[in-house]
Amino acid sequence: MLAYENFVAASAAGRLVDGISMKIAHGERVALVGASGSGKSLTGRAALALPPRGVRYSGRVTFEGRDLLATPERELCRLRGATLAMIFQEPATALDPAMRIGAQIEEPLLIHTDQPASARRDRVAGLLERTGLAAAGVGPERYPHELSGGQRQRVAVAIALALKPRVVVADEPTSALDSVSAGLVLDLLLALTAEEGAALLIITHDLAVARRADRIAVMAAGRIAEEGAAADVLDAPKSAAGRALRTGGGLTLPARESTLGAPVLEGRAISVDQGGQRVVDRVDVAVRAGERLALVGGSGSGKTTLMRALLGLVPADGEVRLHGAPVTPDPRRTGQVAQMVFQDPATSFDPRQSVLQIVCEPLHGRGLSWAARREMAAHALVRVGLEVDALARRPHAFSGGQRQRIAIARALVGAPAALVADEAVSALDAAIRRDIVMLLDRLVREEGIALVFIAHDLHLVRRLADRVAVMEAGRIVEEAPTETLFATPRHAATRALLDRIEDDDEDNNNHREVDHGA
Amino acid sequence: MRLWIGGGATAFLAGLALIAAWWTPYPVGTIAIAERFQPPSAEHLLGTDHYGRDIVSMLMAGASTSLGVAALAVAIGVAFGVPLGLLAASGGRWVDAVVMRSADLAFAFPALIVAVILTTLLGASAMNAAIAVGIFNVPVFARLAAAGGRRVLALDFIDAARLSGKGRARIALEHVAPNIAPVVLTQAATQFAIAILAEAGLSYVGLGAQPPTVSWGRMLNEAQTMIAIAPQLAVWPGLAIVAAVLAITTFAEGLRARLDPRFARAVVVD
Amino acid sequence: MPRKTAVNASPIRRLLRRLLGLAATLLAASLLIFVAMSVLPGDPAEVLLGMNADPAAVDALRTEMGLDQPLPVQFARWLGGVLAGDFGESATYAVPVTDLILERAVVSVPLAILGVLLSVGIALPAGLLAAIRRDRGTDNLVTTLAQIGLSIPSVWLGLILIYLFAVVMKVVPAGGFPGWDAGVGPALSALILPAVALAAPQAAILTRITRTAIVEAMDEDYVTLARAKGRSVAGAVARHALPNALAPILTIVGLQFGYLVAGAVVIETVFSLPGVGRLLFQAVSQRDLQVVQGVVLIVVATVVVVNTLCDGLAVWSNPRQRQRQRQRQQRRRPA
Repeated sequence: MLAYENFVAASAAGRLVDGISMKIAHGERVALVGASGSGKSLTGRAALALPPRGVRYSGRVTFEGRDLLATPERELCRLRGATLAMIFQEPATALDPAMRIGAQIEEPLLIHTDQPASARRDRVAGLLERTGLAAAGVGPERYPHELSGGQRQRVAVAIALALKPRVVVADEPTSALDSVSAGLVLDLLLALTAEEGAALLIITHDLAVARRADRIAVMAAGRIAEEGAAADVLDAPKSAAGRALRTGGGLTLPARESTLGAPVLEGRAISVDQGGQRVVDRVDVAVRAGERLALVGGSGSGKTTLMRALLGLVPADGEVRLHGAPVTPDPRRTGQVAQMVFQDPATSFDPRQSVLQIVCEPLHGRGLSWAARREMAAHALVRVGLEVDALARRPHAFSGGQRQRIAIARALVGAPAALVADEAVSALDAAIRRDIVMLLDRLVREEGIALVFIAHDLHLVRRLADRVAVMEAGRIVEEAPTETLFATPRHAATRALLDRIEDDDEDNNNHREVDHGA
Repeated sequence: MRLWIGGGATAFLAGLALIAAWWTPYPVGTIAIAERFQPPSAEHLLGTDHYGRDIVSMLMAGASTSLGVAALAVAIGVAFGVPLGLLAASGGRWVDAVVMRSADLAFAFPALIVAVILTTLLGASAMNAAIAVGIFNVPVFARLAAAGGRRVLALDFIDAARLSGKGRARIALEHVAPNIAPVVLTQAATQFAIAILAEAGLSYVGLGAQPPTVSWGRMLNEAQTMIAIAPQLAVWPGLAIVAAVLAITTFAEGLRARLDPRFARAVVVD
Repeated sequence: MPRKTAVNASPIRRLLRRLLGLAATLLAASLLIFVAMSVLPGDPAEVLLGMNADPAAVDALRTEMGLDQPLPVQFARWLGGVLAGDFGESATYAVPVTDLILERAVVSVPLAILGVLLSVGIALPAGLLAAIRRDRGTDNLVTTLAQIGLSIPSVWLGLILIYLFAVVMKVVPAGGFPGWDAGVGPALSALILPAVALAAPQAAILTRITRTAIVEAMDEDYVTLARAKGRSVAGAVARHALPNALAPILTIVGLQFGYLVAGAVVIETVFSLPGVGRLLFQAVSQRDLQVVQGVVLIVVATVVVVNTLCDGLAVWSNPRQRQRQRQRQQRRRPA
């Protein structure tokens, strides 16, 4: 029904999608997976002939035999929203902030049908009902900013399915959501498309999502690397790109001996209020020398804020202790004991500084000579696996993985006793992620650093952490040694998080056994 | 491309203005009624005005007044506005509120009104015009620096710097200022163009440069009385202003594209 | 849960808060003006009576004008008068300043309104068109015209218009104002050229701002989603980009108003219109303090009020802003 024939997307910089061919049958669910930049979103948008600015489509994309790329705009407008529908990744930006959600859901009806106002109102009410929004007390009169991310994405689903479309393209519909709402939205999307008999092209990098499709196409560097039944591609990937997708695939960490020291970084009854809301609520947390503590929880559960409060980067109530002694949480003080590695390598460096200036920064004010600082910076770079000649360059000359190494070098240069990594690897591709994780692991083992890391990837948590703390709504609701927590989760929030990886776990289990044995 | 054309034209005008401070082809202070209303010739490229003064010389002298006043006005705006903005962005909530409310208040006083007050107090002069336009520029740069500064201060590398033991002032100086420099520079070029227009308006209505100082705005004023007899007198100063403003705004646009201010976007108050 | 509780900041409360802020700004501005005018060297009473006046008469006048009082008392008296509509008496004309200003306002206010209408009327459609046709011929033409319009001093444009229409074609007088008594037609036609000269640079600025705001909104996901719903580019812009771009445009219109007022004052001089601007410049050259002080206060107050009005409209046009403001107020209140 929908077919790509030698489809090409090109920008001024070159070909982004390089001649792919693919077919999607009536009512079929196809997952398009691949690393960021592999061209999967551009391929998805071609089904509505909606290239982003500066991108040109060529080749053929046919819908029921008609080439969409050669169809005049006026007729495309008639197809879009009625027969071909789309759901975007970012629920925060995909809805018009100045329009009530009822009006936004009604829009396709208004554009494509002659239904009277009362019929349209009924249809909107029906969609709100069907997407579970009505049950959550969300009426058509609400504005997008009044809804949670998951609710907004439900509105997007309602918009896409307002008229019975034949094809729905969903571009990473769940990746901006926390794991609980992601699961619910995905279930809803699958159920509704199945009900309407619509074909679904779902673009994702999350294998748990891809598993729910009939077929999977793996994209890499603008081409389809492999394509096949979902189970086949996931269990026995033939291409290198297919294998690289597997979370934690090939991650092998040496067995560790538990030689835990005294608490290094400790918070007692830490509370943070932001915007009249209690973001962190009387949390006790501590990490010992040589220990790896993972902090997990849905987005907005307060993980990052808690860590920033411990380091004195946000004002907080409660007591912070460094090496057992209470201190005023001032970053100038805490920074001598604990350093931080940030999530986004793009914003964690001053673009006007050289790598040398960046890495030397924590040595500021220690009365060291320039030569001594340079020496220490060079040493730190070597420890994270970079060449010394990197010192003279600026951070934008490096790849994401290399930048994260520079960030770790900066954190390490002053020999801190504790390291806080805030999703330090989640912006990286699987292979690079593995390298960085192994680097962190080695640092803890060899230098006895206390590591606190925030992560969404539970496979990673299971492999790297000694102890896991689960956060929900500003509190630590469960805290336990890693294997205990994974084997016998006690709190509902923990179980909800673990449910998300159940599917993926079944086939990964044997790999993990191998990993641990190695 | 724009950068070079605009920059070249701006440099050319600035050069003429600089030269005119010491030398013009003919003196602009002497009146020679016998020579008046001469058509363009080899001696007087653009002819002479109603007092027999060489128009090319007048334009050059006017350039040094206009560009000098504009440069001073922008310098005042940057020198006071940027530190105030940085203070607002990195200081506490009270400092922020006081600086920003003052900036709001200052916006309520158009340059012309400040010039009126200054002229009533001190009498008209080119310097007063520069101060009036400069005062108007202060809140422009304060807001720009505060907005850009806040955006930079929210980035992760600022937290890294804080953990490295740097204090507020040091961070403002070492990290925030260099990162907002491109936007400030671009805005400075834009404000320079606006200042030229403002100076022309002020000296036209008699709130700026006074005789015998020559300025483009005053040339326009004098030309108006002659407009029925010698319309060409009104053409040249007007064209000079348009050329200067176009050159500088082109330069500013080129600068904006080249410097690509990544973290701090310019506010569009041009 | 904080969402629900935020609702109790009622619209009336918000309006009151805004009005209170406005009043504070106006008070600060009038204080600033008063202080600036008070540091003026020279004695208004002496100016009024002339250089060779009898010192006893000057003293008597000083007492009568309240100039022997301490400054705070003088300020309070002046402000009290202003609030009652009394701006003092002109030294040169010996008539109440209020009468002088009202007499001139019948020229200046229509001119400013015409200028705003013209510039918004040109800029909004032009900016929209340029944004929709981004990077194509129409866009380049509009942007280039705007760039040139921005570079032309309104004084010069006024001179050109006078030369073309009054000197060459002789269709309008070279300036002056027949008064509204002469009929609405002649009076308006005397204001058309000044309004065009006033509006042109404003329109150029506003066109660029409109284009930028719309272009920015067009890059948002929700505009793409609107197209995915089947809207045409123009439809998506009209329905989604424009409402969202309105807030920044309105804010800038408010900020631009100061330039417009200043421009109007200058343009009145170019066209010899007997407006508030001319009154102001005469007062400056005659050092008629009460008039200068009164006109300056009125101009500044107008700018402040229009600014607040535009800001309020901008907030009102944007539900997210409305909410944010509610939350801010929530936070300020003690728990």
